[in-house]
Formats: sequence, C-alpha cells, structure tokens
Amino acid sequence: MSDAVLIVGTKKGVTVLRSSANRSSWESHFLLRGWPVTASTRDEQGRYYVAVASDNYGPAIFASDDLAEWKQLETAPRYRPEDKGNAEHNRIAAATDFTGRYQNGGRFVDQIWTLHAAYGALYAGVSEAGLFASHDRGASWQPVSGFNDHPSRDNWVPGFGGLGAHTILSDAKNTNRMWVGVSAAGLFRTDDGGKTWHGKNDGVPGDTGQCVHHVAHDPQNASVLFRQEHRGVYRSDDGGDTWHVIEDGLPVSELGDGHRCSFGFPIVMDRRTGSAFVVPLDGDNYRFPRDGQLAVYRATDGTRWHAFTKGLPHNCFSAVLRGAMAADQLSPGGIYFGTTSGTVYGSVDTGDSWSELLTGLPRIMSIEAYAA
Amino acid sequence: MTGIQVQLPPVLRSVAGGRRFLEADGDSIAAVLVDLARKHPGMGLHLFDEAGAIRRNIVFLHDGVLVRAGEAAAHGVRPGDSIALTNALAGG
Repeated sequence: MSDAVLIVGTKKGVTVLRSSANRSSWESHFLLRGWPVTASTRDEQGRYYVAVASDNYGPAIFASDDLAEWKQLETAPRYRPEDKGNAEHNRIAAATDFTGRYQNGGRFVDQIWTLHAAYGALYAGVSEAGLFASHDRGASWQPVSGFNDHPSRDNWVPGFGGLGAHTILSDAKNTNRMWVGVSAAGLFRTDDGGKTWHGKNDGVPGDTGQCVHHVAHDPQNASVLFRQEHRGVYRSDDGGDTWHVIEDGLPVSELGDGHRCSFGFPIVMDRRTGSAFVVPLDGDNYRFPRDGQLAVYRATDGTRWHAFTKGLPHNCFSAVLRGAMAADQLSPGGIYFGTTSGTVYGSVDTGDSWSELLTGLPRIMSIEAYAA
Repeated sequence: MTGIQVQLPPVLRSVAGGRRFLEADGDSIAAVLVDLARKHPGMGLHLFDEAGAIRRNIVFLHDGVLVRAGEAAAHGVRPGDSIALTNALAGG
C-alpha cells in the first residue's frame, strides 16, 4: 500500500490532501487563498504545478516541490497581441469584463483548463482555446502554432463555458502523437509532434462542432480512448479515428434539443484494471444526478457500465465538473471526485465503495491524484 | 528619492512573498505599474493583459480618489505617494 496526494482546486484556493499509508485517513491544507485553481499536474521530476485564474487578475501558474511552499512562475501562456479572438467566446468572457476589453477583438488567455506533463515538457490547454508548451519547467511558454492557428479555427464554436482546450493526452510509446479536446470544436490529434492536427470525431454527432467534455486513456495503451461527450459516452480502439457509443447500463436523459443519451462531464481510467469511470448527470437541463442519487458508473470491461452508490448521498443536487475527477493509479485503484458544492469523495477499492473525504470547500473545479 | 508605495490586495500578496506593499517609481499610476512589472515580472501578469492594457477590472485609490484602469495613464502621482490597488466590485 502506498499513500496518495490529491490536489483539489476550488473557486477560492487549493486544498492539498495527503493520505495515511493505507489511504484510510487524510490530512488537508488549504492554500493559495482567494485564487480560483483550475488545473494542476506533476512533472516527471516530481514538481507540482497549479493553474489559477482570477476574473480580475488573470491566469498564472504556481509551482511547488514540497506541496507546502508555492511560488508563482514569472511567465504564463499568453497569446500574441496580433492574434484574432473568437467573437462569441469574447462575448461569454465579457460577462465579467466591466469595461469591454474583449469587444476589441483580441485573443486572450482567460483560463488554464488543463496542465499536462509529457515528453519532458509541460503543456497547457487554455481558453480561448489553445495549446502552449514549456520546455523549461514553466520558465517560458511557446504557443503550439499548428494547433492555435488550425485552419478550422474560424468555425470553432464555444460551449456553455466558453471556447476552451480542456483535455490533453499523450502516448507513452509515440512522442509524436498527442490529443487535445476543445469545447465545442471536438477532439484533435497530431501525429507529427504538433505540426499538424486533425479532428478525430467520426461517429460522434455534431452539426457545427463536437462538444467533447473529457477523454481518458492509458498512455501505455494509448489507442483505446474513452470519451464523455455532451451527447453521450463513446469508445475508440483506433486512437480516435472512429468512435462508437458505449452506454449499456448508463442512465439516459433527454437533452435540451430532444436527443437522448448519457450526459456528464468527467471520465477517468484506472490503468491497472482498464476500468473507466463516469458520473452521469440528468441531462443538460438539470446537470445534477437523477433524483439526487449521486452515483459513479464503472465499466470494468470497457463496454458495460455498472452503478456504485455505496457511501454516496441520495440528496445531491450539484454537479461534478470535467476536471474534478481523478485516479491515483495505485493498487487497488483510488478514484476521487469533487462536487460543485464543495465535497470530495474517494474510493480506495476501485469504485466499489465511497466515502466523504472532505466537505465545506468552495466549488471544486479540478482534482488530480498521485502516488506520494 | 522615495518611490510610490503600492498596496496590494490580499490575493496578490501571494505573488509578492506575502508583502502588503511594493515600491515602484513613475509619474503616473500607469508608469508605476510598468515599473512594478519590470521589478516583479510575475506581478506583471496580473496587471497587464496580452495587449499591454491594464486589466480592466483593476481600480486604484489615490488620495481618496478612485481611479479606473482607463484613467491610470493620465493620473499623476508624486514620490512618497501611496496608491491602493484593488478590483472593481460586482454582485451583492
């Protein structure tokens, strides 16, 4: 048994949870008070990074080697002044922009949605949707121009939360391959180290752009992908070239446009067992668990889903955001998620049973889990 | 010569090693911010956006006068002055 670390990003700071050796008890510390913490990661040398995004003071990244002392990096992903922005995204972002900066048509990084360490580099997925890379542990950031200047960019459509690149996946056996998910432009893949990117959405419905919510895989078996889409749950066995629905056992809800499917945001994998996990919500009209019964669904064989509710409340009317679920990849697998009403739940038996780890937090925006 | 004392809002003190005040030079609020960003690059991320404009939700208090971001270049300050940097309020 090993102990685990959780980094829980909330609307008003970050909570670091450390478990005892058997993960039966947890210690928590609330840090970076006042900063909305939108993403986190750990690099290959063990340094932790968290992304913050203030409506007033913009985004930035803090780093720590000991999870106690956090120092803000002097740079962060930023667009060039000449980059043209997406008008609809700017309209959404302008909801918190009192004097109309966004009306001028520029492209701004208003949030870092995901941080990902791979291939000896750090990657940041941001909104307005874009991908940035750092090869010096965050001391400088470079735009991935093949993605940020994608030929289809003018047709990208923001989702409800804006136009954001929120998912980055890498392939442990092929450093030229990477995937990036954008709401609501779909999933893109590069096979040439980021020079060119191609949409990978065949089999996923969408008129103007697929609203991918999250994608999970095992980097060691990277071509098998699980995808929580606005319009259902999908699986690909060919690296995203083709997708098929896997909703056997999942609750199906009616969406606002009448389409019926399983709706939710996060999807994660326990790599040791190959199991996938989702937290279905009762469609996009309600965005909370059906009848208030919080439930995690697990597909052990990658095709059929089973509900697990032991230890989860029956009066939960909050959501779980796309970045707010993670697996620690220990044995047995630890799975963790946080709600928009500020409660963290965890399972240390690969989803069979759950317990409340911490409650009373602000809205939970992101969770990552690691072996300590 | 004494510089301008800039009082930081609590959330930005984590960027300044916990300090409540930073000192910078300039003859306008905007010039003081440029100097502040030069001395503390990490702070500059929070003061200026990609277009080089002062983040629009930031406001300043100087001698009891509220100064908005768009007025910062024209608002003069003198050595020894203090300005408070904060954000515009919204909601209830």
